[in-house]
Amino acid sequence: MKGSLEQQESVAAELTESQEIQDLLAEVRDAAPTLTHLVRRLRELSDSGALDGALELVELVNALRLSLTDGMVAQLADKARVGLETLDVLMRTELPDRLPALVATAGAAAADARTSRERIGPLTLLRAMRQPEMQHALRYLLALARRLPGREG
Amino acid sequence: MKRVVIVGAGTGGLMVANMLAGRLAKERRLDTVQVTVVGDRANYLYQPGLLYLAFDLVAPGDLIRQVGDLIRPGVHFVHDRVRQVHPAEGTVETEGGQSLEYDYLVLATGSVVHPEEVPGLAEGGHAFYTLDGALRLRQALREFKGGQLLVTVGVPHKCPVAPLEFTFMFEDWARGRGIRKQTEILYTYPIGRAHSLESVGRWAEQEFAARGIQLETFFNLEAVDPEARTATSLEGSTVPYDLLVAVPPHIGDSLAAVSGLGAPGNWLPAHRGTLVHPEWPNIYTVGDATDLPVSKAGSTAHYQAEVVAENLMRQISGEPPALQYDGKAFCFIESGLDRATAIEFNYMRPPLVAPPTQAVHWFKQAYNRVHWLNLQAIV
Repeated sequence: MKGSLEQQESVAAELTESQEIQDLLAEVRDAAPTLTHLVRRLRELSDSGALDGALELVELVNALRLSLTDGMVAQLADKARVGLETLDVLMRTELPDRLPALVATAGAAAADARTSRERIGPLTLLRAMRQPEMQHALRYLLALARRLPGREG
Repeated sequence: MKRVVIVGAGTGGLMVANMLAGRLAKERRLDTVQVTVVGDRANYLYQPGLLYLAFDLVAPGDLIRQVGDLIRPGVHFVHDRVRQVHPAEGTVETEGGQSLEYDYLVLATGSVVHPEEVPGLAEGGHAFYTLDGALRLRQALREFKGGQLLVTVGVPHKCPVAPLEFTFMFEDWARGRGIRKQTEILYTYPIGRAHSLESVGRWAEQEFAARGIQLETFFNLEAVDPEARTATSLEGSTVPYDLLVAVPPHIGDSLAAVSGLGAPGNWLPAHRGTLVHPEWPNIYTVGDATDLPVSKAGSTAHYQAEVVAENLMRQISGEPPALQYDGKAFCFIESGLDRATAIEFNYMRPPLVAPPTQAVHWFKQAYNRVHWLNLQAIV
């Protein structure tokens, strides 16, 4: 026991004489207010359970990191790039402005079709085709068909 | 035209096919590359989900999709079984009488459970490694009111941590059902620790001790007596059980031996880095089917598929296969019904087991649903 005490005193003396330890102690002294604040906050986080929650997230992030490979990261980045480029193209069209109206129109038309009792026959179709809004729709469909790629000439 | 034929429509086969389809879209449109998958099953089963099925946490329909729905456009699917590979001729012969020529072949024939190796096991035990087995076990758990659970493990087997996961989930499940006090759990393992991976074994032993789970090592299941409800090991130990859950030994597909390509156990030899067959430079192996000293797991198949797809693309464009698989595997370990940890390791780096958390359990739950995107090489 006495030998052990002597050893301990010798180690303590060595440590306090070490410049590195003295510098470290000085830093700790200077940082005392910050350290006190950190310790207080850590205790609060620990008491509330938030510290455990934060550490769980650290484990989760680490598990995510471990599961990935270079190839996967590259693929994810490519997917994100293509997705954003496609979104960007769409956003530069009138589609974002027109989309709510288009969706509402489609919904209203579906409701009309569900409640309509009109029998559709050849004469009804011929009459409908003469209507201005039907002409407009048919002109649009024909224009679209003529512009579709891959059509045979 | 370069023809790539992939034998097997499991995790490895589908991933390679879909990765190639995505990256060779232009070549496929120009008909300079053709990718064909030959599989003997029309449905794909998400096998890691069978563990959850046994505990009534998922339904069978959650785990099954048609292979045709999982293959990207431009990949041909042939629903047939390959009877033999003729590597010298560059053809595969199917049981349906087709002969498919290939320039590059990928063998993703997986592994199969082989309970017949243990007399009495099929009658007296349960296993969650097949759909039928998981459903039988689910029924047995629904009827279980307490008693001795015995878990035995045959090696090699796929999903290296699944036996531990089952044991921990069972322990939680028994507590939740209020039958833990009248339930004894004995986990056995063939070697002198709880798992082949040393750090996992150490961690598991600590968990066992904390949760009152008994461990018997050096237990290689030799026979089961379904009448007496006992299991006997090669080492001479006879253990009674009320519920026996056994991980049966696995073997490779018989195609390996029939085609003269295989190694003992019907596993297929492959270069540990490029995954090319040592005798045939245009044949790759991926997934459970290899004889590599790596865990047989879905993640392994995924990481290997990345390498195989990349190396195939290089070969197709006249370059040598240069990407190397480093032995990477990533496994979740459910340590109960609401927490999990994860391990990652490779040829050079053993796994470190972090304390289980709910967040990682949620990651696993999310992955169970996102796996379909991996299969289709969407992410």
